[in-house]
Amino acid sequence: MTALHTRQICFILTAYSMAGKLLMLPAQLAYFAGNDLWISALISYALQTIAVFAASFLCSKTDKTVFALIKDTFGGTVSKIFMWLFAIFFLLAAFLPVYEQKLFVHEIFYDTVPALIVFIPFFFVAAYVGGKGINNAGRTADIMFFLFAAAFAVIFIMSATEANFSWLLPVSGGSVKGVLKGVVSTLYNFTDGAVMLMFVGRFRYKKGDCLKITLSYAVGAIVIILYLLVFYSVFSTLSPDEYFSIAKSAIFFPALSVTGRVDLIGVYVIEVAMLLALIMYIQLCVQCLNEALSDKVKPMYLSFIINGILLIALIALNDKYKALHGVYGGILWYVFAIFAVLLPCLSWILKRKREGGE
Amino acid sequence: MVTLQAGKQSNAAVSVFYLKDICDENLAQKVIRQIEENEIDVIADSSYIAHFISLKPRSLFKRFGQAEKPDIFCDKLCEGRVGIIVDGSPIAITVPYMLTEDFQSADDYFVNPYRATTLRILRILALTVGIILPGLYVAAQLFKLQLIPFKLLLNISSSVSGLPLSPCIEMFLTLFVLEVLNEASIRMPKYVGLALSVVGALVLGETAVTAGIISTPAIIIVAFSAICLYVVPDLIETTATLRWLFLIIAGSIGTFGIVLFIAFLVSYLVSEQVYGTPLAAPFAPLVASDMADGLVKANLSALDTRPQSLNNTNTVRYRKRK
Repeated sequence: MTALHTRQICFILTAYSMAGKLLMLPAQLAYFAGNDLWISALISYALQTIAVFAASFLCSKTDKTVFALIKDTFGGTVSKIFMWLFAIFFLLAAFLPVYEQKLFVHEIFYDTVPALIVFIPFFFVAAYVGGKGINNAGRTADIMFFLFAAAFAVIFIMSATEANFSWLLPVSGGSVKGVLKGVVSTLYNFTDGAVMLMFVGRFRYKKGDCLKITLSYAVGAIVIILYLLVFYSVFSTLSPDEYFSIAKSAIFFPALSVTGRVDLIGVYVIEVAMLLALIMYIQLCVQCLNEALSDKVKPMYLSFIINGILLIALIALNDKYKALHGVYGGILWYVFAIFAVLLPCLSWILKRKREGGE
Repeated sequence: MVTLQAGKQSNAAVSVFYLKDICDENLAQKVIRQIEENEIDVIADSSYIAHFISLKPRSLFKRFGQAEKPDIFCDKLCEGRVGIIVDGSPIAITVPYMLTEDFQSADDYFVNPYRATTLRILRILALTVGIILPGLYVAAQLFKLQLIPFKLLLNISSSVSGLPLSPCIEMFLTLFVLEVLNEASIRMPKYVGLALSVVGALVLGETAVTAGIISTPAIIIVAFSAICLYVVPDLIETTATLRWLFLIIAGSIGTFGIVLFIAFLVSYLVSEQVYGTPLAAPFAPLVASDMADGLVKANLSALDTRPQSLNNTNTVRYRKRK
């Protein structure tokens, strides 16, 4: 089944991947690594680029999905187990970013912090869109890539004009432990290898697509690293407190005192991309569950169930972000390392036979 | 051309047109089948046929193109579409339909391509502003004052101070008055048109502001929004409804509601298809060759292939003789 186009995968791995790293990641990296936050990001991105490359190179050897390959290699039962594991993984990968999104919405979209109920409509939209399938994520990326790029460029330029890059010096002046702690604690933001693994067998591979996909991801990585440099250059030692930097880094641009917060228009466009990027994880979860249940349940129902679980978890764990982040960064980081880094790299051991007898 | 009789009582002639060497024969047969499958007493207008051939008639977004001019109708047939003409109706229907069609105008093909491109971008921007502006204004007043520049905010504050209504109710009432005036201007006899225009402008506009019932910014925004929506008149039914929805959402949830609804609309539009042609084509999925007549209007020589989104059988439209 070919649902996606290579171009759409490139757009997803650039725009949607970038959108997911603009909320808490800069402040968290600054907290652990200080002015070496870009080194932590570089390490995480290097690992993810290898994983994305490995998964996209696998596409050149097979037309089958990764679950079909697992079934051919280890049997149907193991394949079902992996489907369930990946479904749970994507649910986990979606939950904390949804929580962060809630906090972002409450802080940036309103003058006074509203009740939790204001964020609940997200789950209705996510439930509807979540059942639409990966094809939908690809087509929304076709539109959102350009809008996101334009909005992000505006925010970036407005932020960069007020940056003092001397705050980044000395390079590698911080502790190696801090840099590595930053990598481990923010690993939940870097799940692009697992996402690419789900795209295996779902698009028509042509010669050179592996390079295109990997380069697209690398370009997104470079842009985010540049943004981290600008972020720290704007806020310096205050950086660890500047959560949701994408809505704050351009605030010092001189023209805003005359025009008002027009940068918020750019933030709202980026927010649309962020929401769709979040919903993509729900779509992937639905896809895995759908395959695990052998298409016996309609994807829309599965999407409603998954969003119901996320909503209940959000309500139950309201005001517990720090504890959650501690769990994700301190305990669950190895889960993300396995699914987003190790498994894509190990996917090579799966039997590969391109359809048509090659 | 295939001519059918539709309407048990009216026996209206319905002609289905398509170019055999360009249009997909299966598409034409499917459209004919859709018309034949529906039994109704009277076919009063082509919109009845449009309802039959729309595979999702309850959707807010229309699924058929309309043409009132013969040149537009012919051009659409040459692109690989199926055209339907109903006896007694001045409006022809074409399928498949892409949303981008309504942003194209016949004039775009007669003027300089740069001017045409500018006008198309203007139409899209005007439509976006027309739909979102009333809701954004309400959301900014209620939830996020920072969106409004400070000096403008002072002006708005002096205009709205003392008003008995909340911004959302105020905007709702103003839009309601606009819709009533709109509807009345279509239905009223010509000889009372002038008197009613005076009532609308002076009494409902000027006097309401002077009486402190509504504010001047609200009237300006509603008037500008109305003008913006009529830049693309074929979509007025959809865009006017969307404007109401955005207002209600903005008034209750604020700017996040606007953003969330936009995300929903984007997801909805990209997943819808009309007879195999995506509604949001050529933007989603992105078809590079079709973009020469999408947002941008390229030179005639650049429009050498028919739209690939339409699945036509003969893709070459223009070729220069050597």
